[in-house]
Amino acid sequence: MGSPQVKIRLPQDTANSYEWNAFVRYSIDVLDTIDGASKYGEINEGEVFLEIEFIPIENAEELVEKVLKDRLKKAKKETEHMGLALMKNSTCFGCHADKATHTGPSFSEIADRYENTSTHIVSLSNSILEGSKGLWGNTEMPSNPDLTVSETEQISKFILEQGAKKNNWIIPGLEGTFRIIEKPKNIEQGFYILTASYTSTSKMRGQDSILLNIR
Amino acid sequence: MKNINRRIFIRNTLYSGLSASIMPSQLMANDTATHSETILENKSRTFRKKRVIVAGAGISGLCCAYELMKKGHEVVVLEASGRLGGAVLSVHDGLADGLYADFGAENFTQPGYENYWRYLKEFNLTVLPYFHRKNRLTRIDGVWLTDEAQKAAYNQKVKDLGGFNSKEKEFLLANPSYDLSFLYLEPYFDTFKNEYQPFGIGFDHLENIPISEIYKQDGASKAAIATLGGSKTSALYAIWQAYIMHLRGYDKPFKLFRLKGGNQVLTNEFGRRLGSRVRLDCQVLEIVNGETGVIVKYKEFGETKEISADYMACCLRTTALKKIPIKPTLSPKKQFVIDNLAYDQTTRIVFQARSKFWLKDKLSINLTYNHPALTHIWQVADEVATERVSLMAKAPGGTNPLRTLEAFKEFYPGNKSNIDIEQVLVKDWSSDQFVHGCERHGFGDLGELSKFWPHTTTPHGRIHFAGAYADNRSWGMEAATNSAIRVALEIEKA
Ligand code: HEC
Repeated sequence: MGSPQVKIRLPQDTANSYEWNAFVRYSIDVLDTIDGASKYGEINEGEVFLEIEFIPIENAEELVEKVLKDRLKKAKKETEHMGLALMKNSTCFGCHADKATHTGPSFSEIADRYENTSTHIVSLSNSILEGSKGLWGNTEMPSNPDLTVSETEQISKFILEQGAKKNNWIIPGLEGTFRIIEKPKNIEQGFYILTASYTSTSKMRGQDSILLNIR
Repeated sequence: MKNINRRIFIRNTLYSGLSASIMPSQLMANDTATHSETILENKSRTFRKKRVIVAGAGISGLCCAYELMKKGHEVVVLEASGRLGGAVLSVHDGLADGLYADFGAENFTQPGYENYWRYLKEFNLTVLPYFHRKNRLTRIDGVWLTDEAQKAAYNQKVKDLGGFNSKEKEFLLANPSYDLSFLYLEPYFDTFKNEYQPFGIGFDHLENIPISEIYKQDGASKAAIATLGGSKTSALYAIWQAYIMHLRGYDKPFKLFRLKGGNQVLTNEFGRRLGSRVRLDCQVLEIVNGETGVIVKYKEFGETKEISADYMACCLRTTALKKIPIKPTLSPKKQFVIDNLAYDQTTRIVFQARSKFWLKDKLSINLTYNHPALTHIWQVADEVATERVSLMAKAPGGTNPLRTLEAFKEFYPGNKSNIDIEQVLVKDWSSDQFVHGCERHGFGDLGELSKFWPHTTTPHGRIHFAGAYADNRSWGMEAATNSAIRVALEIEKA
């Protein structure tokens, strides 16, 4: 039994070269011997994630290739954060996203407001368990009594860590669109590393990484 | 920028010469087959038939397509999901004896919903009164209160605050207490020239002033100021919304209605008239707004296809639009709306019970629980001839329906052993792939209105925007039909 096969597809461009501020539409193909194929709607979208990382190239002298190779290697080894695994199996992504505000605050807004300290992990964990209202706006978050305290603490840790990452985004689902950042000052070129991953029902993880060249 | 426009123009003229032909070239890297077509053009001189792509077969897309079709235009509706109606969803499956429930858009009013009512007459649909706010009981701080008891509590609160002043008292002799704000807002109404334009009529500065300041300034009593609130609501927004309510008659008591058989009867009727002009399972992927037309890439059963037309009526909610690249890019103001518009997230839970068990307890079933897993509950489809009943419960998005049932039983104001619920169905809009969420939120915070209005409704070149989010008030089916008719007119005149 092998790991699921995961493949990122970018429809617009074969050269994988993009301009700053451009929209990128992507889809992810998944094929698993047991679960089936995304093509036939057999793959649980909630288990598919795209992680996007921006790598600025500040200095043309830098060994671009080496930097990227190291980064890609790292991406291959990464395992999933427990907190993310728990969130995927819950309702959270219906209302929250990493860097975009949906019904609930984004992970980055949460991380901006609360430093990653044990006190905040406890208070966030409590909000997740009990539900929350009035801290961010008029909409309320339902309680999550099916989760345990240690689980919601793992989740809070993940939210604070992920939210604090400035050049890193995670998006759930088999397809979607993201927008490349505006050109930062002092930088002419950069790369986006896209890593798609899928965790199968038999807990096997498959992933695929590709590189986008941004000019 | 110039380059982009030029490229679009060239591509567009290339495609507009074709009609329903297969393009052999690989337009997209991963396409297994790519197929391109144009809606046929009509050459008549007096009337220029327009070719319009309508994105989305929710109530606004269907209504807009129907209006355009009636005027003789050529329409194709592309709908991503496998059904018509979007947030209008009436469910019969799983309920016994012909019972049904509206899991989505739930009621309409009179007065109000004028455009909506026109279609009900035109299609001869049966309208039923809806009494789900009658004889209501509300649970406040663990105690069940009747509307009268709540009113008494309100009166006591007013008294404790020193009572209303004479002007307010006089107003309340002829008006319900929930309309008190109109006493202070009405003097501003005459200045409006157009219900769609709150700006440029001398009130712009009020966007950043809380409405509570206006009450104070115009001599409201302490009791009125405390009960009206509004310290965080923009005065311009409050006045504008009250003006629209006044125009539509919502400042007087209004009645609630629903369609017999479920509100989806109307969207089904639109769909039936549009026939094969509506294409299900066609998800819009990309939109290009060119100088002479629009080109849309869409996915039909995994295959990427392309279609072009003169105009697009974009009737997708912003949650769907977020995922669709539009070229050239939208103006920053428009993009802001798409990125930031928020929607209510609710779960609808339907219970089927064997009988009207609450009658044994001499209770009404219009209950407001104010519980985290159950906000309200009421009866639906009460005209169906059966002893069984279907009850509709509302809860925040993501609520487990069995917890809703548990909350219902635990805090039920009668004898729990009378409860004979036998079936639980659920629809969680916060996790719907295509209709993510319910009604949009308002733009009432200080300084917010100008970030959203009028950009929410402005077109982008040949792309016009309709939908329940794209009107001046957020009540779903009213806003959807109003904006659909607006867009049909915009395209007609373009
Ligand atoms: C129905 C929509 C919805 C769902 C589902 C949802 N949330 Fe929330 N969440 C919200 C809203 C709205 C808020 C802001 C509440 C407030 O203003 O207090 C929020 C706030 C939060 C906060 C910040 C709380 C604080 O103390 O500031 C965290 C952390 C959070 N959610 C995590 C989660 C996790 C984890 C899940 C899944 C187990 C989840 N949410 C599911 C809507 C939702």
